[in-house]
Amino acid sequence: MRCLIVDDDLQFTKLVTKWLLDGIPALQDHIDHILYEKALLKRLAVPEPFAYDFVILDIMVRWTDMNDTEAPVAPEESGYFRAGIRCLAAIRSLPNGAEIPIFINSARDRSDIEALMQEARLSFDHVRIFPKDGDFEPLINAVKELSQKIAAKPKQPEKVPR
Amino acid sequence: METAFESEAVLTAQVADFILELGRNHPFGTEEGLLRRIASLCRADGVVLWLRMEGTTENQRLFSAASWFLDEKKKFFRYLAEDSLTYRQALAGTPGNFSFPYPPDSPDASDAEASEKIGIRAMCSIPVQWADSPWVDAGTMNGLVSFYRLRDTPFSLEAFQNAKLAAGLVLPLLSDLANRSAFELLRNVSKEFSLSTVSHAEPERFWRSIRTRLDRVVELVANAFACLEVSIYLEPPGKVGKEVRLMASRWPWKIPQREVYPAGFGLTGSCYLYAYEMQIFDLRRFIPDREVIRDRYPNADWAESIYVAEPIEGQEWFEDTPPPMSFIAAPIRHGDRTYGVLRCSVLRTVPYYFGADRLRALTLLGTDIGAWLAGELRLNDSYEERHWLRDYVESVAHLNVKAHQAGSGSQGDHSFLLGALESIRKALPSSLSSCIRMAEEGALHCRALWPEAETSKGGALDGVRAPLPLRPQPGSQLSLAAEVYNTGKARRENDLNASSFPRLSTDTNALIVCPISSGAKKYGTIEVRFRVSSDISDHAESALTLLGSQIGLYLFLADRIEDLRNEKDLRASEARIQRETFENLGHQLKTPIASARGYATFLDKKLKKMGKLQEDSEALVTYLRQAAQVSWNIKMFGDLAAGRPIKPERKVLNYDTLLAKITTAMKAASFRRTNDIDFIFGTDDRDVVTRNTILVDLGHLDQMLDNLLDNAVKYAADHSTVVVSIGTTHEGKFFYISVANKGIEVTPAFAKRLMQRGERSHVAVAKGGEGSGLGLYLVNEILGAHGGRLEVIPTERGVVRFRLLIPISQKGSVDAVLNR
Repeated sequence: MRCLIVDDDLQFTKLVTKWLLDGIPALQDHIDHILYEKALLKRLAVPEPFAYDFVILDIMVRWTDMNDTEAPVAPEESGYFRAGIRCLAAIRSLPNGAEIPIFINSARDRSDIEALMQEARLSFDHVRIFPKDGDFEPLINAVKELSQKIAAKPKQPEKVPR
Repeated sequence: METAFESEAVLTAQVADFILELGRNHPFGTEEGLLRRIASLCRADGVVLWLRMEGTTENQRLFSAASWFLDEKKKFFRYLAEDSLTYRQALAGTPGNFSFPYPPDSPDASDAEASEKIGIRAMCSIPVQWADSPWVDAGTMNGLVSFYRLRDTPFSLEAFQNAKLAAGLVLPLLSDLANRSAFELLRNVSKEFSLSTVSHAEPERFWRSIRTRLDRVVELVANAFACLEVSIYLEPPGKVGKEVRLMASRWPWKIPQREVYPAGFGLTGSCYLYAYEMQIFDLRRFIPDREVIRDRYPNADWAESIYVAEPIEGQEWFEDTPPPMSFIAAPIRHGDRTYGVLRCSVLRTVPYYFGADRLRALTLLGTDIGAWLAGELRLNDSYEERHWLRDYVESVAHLNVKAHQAGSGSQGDHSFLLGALESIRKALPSSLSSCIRMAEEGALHCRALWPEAETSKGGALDGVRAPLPLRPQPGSQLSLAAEVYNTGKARRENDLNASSFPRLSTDTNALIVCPISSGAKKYGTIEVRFRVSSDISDHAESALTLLGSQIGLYLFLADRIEDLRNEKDLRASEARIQRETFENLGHQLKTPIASARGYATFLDKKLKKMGKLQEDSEALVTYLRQAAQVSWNIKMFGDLAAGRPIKPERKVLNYDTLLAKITTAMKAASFRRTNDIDFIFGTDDRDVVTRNTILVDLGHLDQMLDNLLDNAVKYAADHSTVVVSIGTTHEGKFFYISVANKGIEVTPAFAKRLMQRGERSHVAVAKGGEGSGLGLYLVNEILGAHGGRLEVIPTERGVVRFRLLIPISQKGSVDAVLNR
């Protein structure tokens, strides 16, 4: 099982990682970090399958790094604090992205996030929202639950060459 | 007989000449002289004029100047003329309903036979017929002019015609003579007005006084003109269409007389025009309904000369007022302001009963009354315009309060600002028109001017803002308060020049100019022009000044709206920035607190397992420090917004303390981005702190260092270095702590604005970086409380340098501060 964390707060990402590894030791060496929207878009542009089993996503994530001179989109058109929504839309637009579990971990209110998703016409399927309040137990439990589901899923038999 | 007839025929031409002569001037000083002349022309030995005044049943011998002749010549008369009325016929009654009773003081009346002894041998009597009217018996003979001959010569047809012609002249000619005395009388009335003053301390007493004086006018005019009805219709200023007062009249009949006519009745604007244009009712221009007269008087050829007056088509008379058969009216006016109408009426159909002199006299009187009223009303403190002004001031003050609230921007309420603007916009046109009305007497023109009216900013003031024919000159009338200029006399060369008012016509003898302004900002002027300088009142000046302020306020708000709508200019969007500020602040608070909670929880678990404690506890401390910093910022911001100044508790700063604080702030900042930012602290002069006395609040110093270094870390480029240094500057007057980093470029223009509340680099916003725009603002405020300031020094290649300038204290002042 592999995990992708999209958050621009490095220390917070470290903290989440600590919690994940503490709860699901199998994730050791299977957690990747992406710090801003542009890096995610760059990653998704690679013609390889999206190999993560779930994503922990921040909403008020940075758009790009400080060395860049241009934002990926004009802020006047798409809003200032919704880069995470655009990241979610980008993942959902992948060929296999519609059913990837997304765990939103944000300081914004749940109602705000839901309104932003509705505005972006994004489905709530396979999306769970966790408040960024320092209580990681619900998130870790959700990941454990997902892990058990994946484990219980019957593996497709390998094709034996004739 | 033939000779007599011929000679009298010749006289016809003489009579005609006499008429023309009388029309040019009056060669006779008295009525007696006039009658003698007429008698002479008609070859009569005597003339007696009998009249019966309208509305009365009493005959009066008004003009009996020729009766002396009758008294001296005691001869009998004969009735010789067949085509003229004999005396006996006159006694028996004239054709139609003529009934001529004995003149009360006539020798003929008292002793008819005695008159025969006088020696009157022939008589020619000409009836003077007044108009048909419902109030005087129809066909009543109202007068008789009798020509007597003591000779035994009958009046021929020509003589009769001459006599008839002369009789037609007698009344108007005598009337014109009377006009002379009337004119003098009215001039005396005018003098009385010009010399008089009335009390205007109380409205009721004021109006009572006016009424008393106008009643006196009515009486004098009625006597002078021998009129039966003199009325004054007065429309008080400021009560257009509300009330019309009939001041007085002398109707002898039982006609309901109203003291106060309701609105819309009687005197209207058209009636002004009517009175103004129809100054004399020329009966000869109207319908001579001779058919009616012939039916009534079939044998009377004199009916041909009777005219029946009718109102002009389309002009209605007052519903319960009898139409006068002849009247003159003059407006009561002053300048362009008409207060009412002064009207004199009679019921006679005599042509030109009112002569030109009477008309002139009445016009003069109306003008004098108008001037008197204008002066009195302007001085009347109790008049309603004062109340109107008070209401106006209150409404303007209310708008000012609303606009001040909206324009302060403290709440950034866009909708409220727009609402206030809309209310002012709606109030403006009516305010301007009210202002014109208030500057009531004789205002020629009023308009509001401001340069921006030609641009899009004034677009909502249709009807008020006109294309500018003239622009206010900088430093000219814009700098003036409301002032009155007597353009004909004392035009101020420095403030006004001819080019400033190219349309200043010769009609304009005075004008008010007041500025359109809001605070120190001057937008334009309002000018009101007057024909008469005395027409300018203090009220008009006050109202115009208020109006100028109101328009200025509108323009000021329009400017603010324009700025707020311009999203490209970040400075303008105050409401948006404030909303984002609090939103971002909330985010900044939540994240470190949540992190602290997460770490604390995690540490709790670790403690149970006895795992790594050092690193996690350090992270916890750092995050808690960040949370504290943000909470401090918010608290200080709230204090400043509420008007509470920063009060630093100064201590002497030493080097070790400073070094510890810089190191701590660096460590906290570095924790935010641990991977790629380096920090350097260096100075060439380590003794700069110990050599100088630096007083600073140590808590505030922490806050300032945290803010500056946090900013530097947030906006520093990856793999860059943040350099902190200290030293003195500005000729040793200030100690500085400098923080420099390479990252977001700050232009020199934007550097000046960074210290304003809510300002952030647009690049920082675009990159989604955290920040409220409060940090630098608060640092600058803290330094200001210390007597220093924050310097933002943009350098080349994207390196920006912030310097905290703290004043270096002198020995004496240090003691004073520390002992305080």
